[in-house]
Amino acid sequence: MWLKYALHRLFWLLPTLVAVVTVAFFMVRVAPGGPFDQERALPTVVKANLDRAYGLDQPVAVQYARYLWALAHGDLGPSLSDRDFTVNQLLAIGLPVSLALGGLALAFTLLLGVPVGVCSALWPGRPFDRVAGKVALLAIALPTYVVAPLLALFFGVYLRWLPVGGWERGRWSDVILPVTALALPSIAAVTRLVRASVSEALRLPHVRTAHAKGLTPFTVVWRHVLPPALVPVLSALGPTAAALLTGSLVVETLFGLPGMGRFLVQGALNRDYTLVLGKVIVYAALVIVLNWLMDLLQVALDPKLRQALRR
Amino acid sequence: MASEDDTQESVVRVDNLRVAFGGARSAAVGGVDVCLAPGRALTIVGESGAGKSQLALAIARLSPPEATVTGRVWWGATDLLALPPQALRAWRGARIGMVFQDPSVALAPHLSIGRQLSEVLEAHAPKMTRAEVMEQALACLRDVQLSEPARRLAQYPHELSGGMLQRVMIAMALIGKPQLLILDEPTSALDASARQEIVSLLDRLRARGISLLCITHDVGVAAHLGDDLAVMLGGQLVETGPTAAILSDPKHPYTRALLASRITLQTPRVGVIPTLREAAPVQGGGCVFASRCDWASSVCQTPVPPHSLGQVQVRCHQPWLGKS
Amino acid sequence: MSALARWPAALWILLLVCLWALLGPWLSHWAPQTLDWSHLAAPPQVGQGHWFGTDRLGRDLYVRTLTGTRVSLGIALVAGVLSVAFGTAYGVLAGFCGGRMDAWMMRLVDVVYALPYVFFVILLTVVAGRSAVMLFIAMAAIGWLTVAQIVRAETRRLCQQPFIEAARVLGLPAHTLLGRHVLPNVIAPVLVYATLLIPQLILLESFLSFLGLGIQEPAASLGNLLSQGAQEMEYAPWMLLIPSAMLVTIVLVLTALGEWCRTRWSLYGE
Repeated sequence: MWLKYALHRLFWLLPTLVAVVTVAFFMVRVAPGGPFDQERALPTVVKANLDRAYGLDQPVAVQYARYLWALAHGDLGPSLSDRDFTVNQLLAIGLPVSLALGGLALAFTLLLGVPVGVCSALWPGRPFDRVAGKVALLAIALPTYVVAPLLALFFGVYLRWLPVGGWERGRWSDVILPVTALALPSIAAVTRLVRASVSEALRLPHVRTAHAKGLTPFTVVWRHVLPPALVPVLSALGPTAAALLTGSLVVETLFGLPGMGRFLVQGALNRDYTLVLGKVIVYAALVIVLNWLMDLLQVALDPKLRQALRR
Repeated sequence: MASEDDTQESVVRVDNLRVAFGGARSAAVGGVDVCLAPGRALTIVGESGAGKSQLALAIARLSPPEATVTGRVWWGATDLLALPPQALRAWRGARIGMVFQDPSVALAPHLSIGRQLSEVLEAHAPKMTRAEVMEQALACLRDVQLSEPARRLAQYPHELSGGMLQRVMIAMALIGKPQLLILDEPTSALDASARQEIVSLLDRLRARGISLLCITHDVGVAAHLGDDLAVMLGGQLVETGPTAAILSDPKHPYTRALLASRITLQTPRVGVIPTLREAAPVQGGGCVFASRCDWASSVCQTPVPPHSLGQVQVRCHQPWLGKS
Repeated sequence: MSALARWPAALWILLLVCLWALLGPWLSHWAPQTLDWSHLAAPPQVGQGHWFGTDRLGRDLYVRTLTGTRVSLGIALVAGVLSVAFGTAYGVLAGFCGGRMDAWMMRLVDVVYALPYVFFVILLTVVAGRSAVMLFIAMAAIGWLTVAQIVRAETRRLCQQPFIEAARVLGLPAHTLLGRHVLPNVIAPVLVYATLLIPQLILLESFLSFLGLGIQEPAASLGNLLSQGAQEMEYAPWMLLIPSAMLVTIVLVLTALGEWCRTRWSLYGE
């Protein structure tokens, strides 16, 4: 039953993904210029051959159908600018890096944001809450592309504690600065959200009942306050993850990490249709899958929804 | 209200209890004395905003954090208001059971009934085995005459009706075997038939020796529970005494108005109490009902100590005025 | 005067920054695109009038930061107005029509919300080339979503109010109903949200410019100044620090102001 529901939800997310693919495909094609327009025009014959080789001479509708067909088989086509590679190969290099970066940042966000938010809500107005609130406001106003260079400047250039960029397998020091820069605004956002949500949950009537039963303060918070308070946080995780992906674009560029976002803008400017499409589709799929997981988690936490499902 | 001789064996004695909220000019509860004997029921009636619920919450020290509570709540030789929070947990749930109004929100929506019952025992009798705990929970649900008790343990609050939830709430208050049950408007969220069942359930509990402190705005509930009655207005108890005596011969003008405002088949015309909640001035020390009383005179602006009239204590300077 | 005194400090700081951005460049004798070959990547100093230093091409950073601030604020303002206008129209329409129309219109908003929008902005700017107009449209394409949601919720709430019902019963035409009863009531929450939207749009503009998709060289905006600063930070850290400080100040002040407005008129809770 559980599995059936999960698949059912996933099935309804598919049209969204198809819509993304369609919109993205036609947007790229409508753009003036093509992948082989260079400063020095290629001989007409060469260009025609190139166009034919990549199927660009066909009507757009045919190209679209072909693309969808290949996509359904998991093939994102050849890269138009990096001609020795297929998009799949390029993504296979970039995706793990981006996932590691985003996953670490998300974990960091939750591990830091949730406890700080909960503590702020439990001791409102105390020094901890006030300091955390100020820091969070500052961190929200500090976008990734300001924090990242500043962190690199301070820890990398002046203190020389951590490398300013680069990516070598298994080196933790490479990850610290990018992940910090990436996670900081999300931590602040999650902290503020959790604080608001928990202080609202603390006023729920059933929390007073829990106190009246003589439970320890820890049990009251853990068992009676947090479950209802964290539900809105779950639904905010989808947008948070999207924000992290957006941020990873900047972080990868700034720290020179070989992730998916690094050459995205360059690829878009070069009209590397397949590469840009492939990356956008993977990003969208990531966000959609994450929203799906959050949706399932929410159902798992709410007895009312859970029962509706069982019937 | 308990008379002089049985104060010795009171379950709980409230001494000059005051609950004040920061910005408010007058206290929600302004110096209340209450004494509750074992196996007796004390009902506190009054209009909304009279401070009844704040009084009930303050006894178990559940007042909202922004409230300032002063006075003493004596449990034997222990002052509950002076206890450190950890020590207080030995009272809450174990010696004092609480039942709140509107059980549909007072029960945790995300925990099963069984879980909510068992966690009381886990907190107070950690040595009990899981099987014993569930056994006890089941017994408690049977005790409050909930239908199909075994099935209810696995159910969630949203699956039960209001009357059933109130039974669960009472079972949850009883599972720790308390000597005192504090009920805050136990019937106000229920329909008439569920109300009747809950009141007779309370009757049985009292017969078993559990003291009841019942907060309600429903004089019918008070009449049914009997024993003692206290009428609360503007944070003060304006009339206290045996329920039968007060209902048959109300002394305070407010009590008279309150009883007259009940709609019964016999009443030819429903009495109306002028509702001016904010006009209850406690700060001057005068009568809290003065601004709304038909018989008020200048003497009513001076502090009113409780007068004893027979078994009843009244806070009124001229309780003989205006009696029909 | 006493009413003014109750305004938060954030507002005064904001006004000062705006005034400085508008008038400040005239205080310096450098123009934003003049190259001073004798001072390439010079640190901040008073003597030559390069108060905030120069960049690698010898352009005065004081003037460039202020003109960049001007551009960033202006773009955010225009995109904000566009977002509010379109979002209000969309939200009122959805809320007023109700039923299936409403459901589909809001579904669309949800779908667009669920997407990593920045990639669409990237696509959009690629499609239409990198121009200021495109930048406005791309930014407004994101900004209108929340406006539409707020307006729609407010409109639905209003439409269930007795006075709208009464006006309907009186047989007022739809445009009178909308213009006289719905719009005036929707405007207040929208304006408060707009104060929270503007800092987000400033961040978005600088993000796009940072990626090279927004304002193009040689024109300056906070975003492309930051982008250059990040490249030169090891040798000319002032190129990064000064625009950063400017951006953070503006966004902080605007966010604080927005929060102040929100709690002041206690709109949409936390």
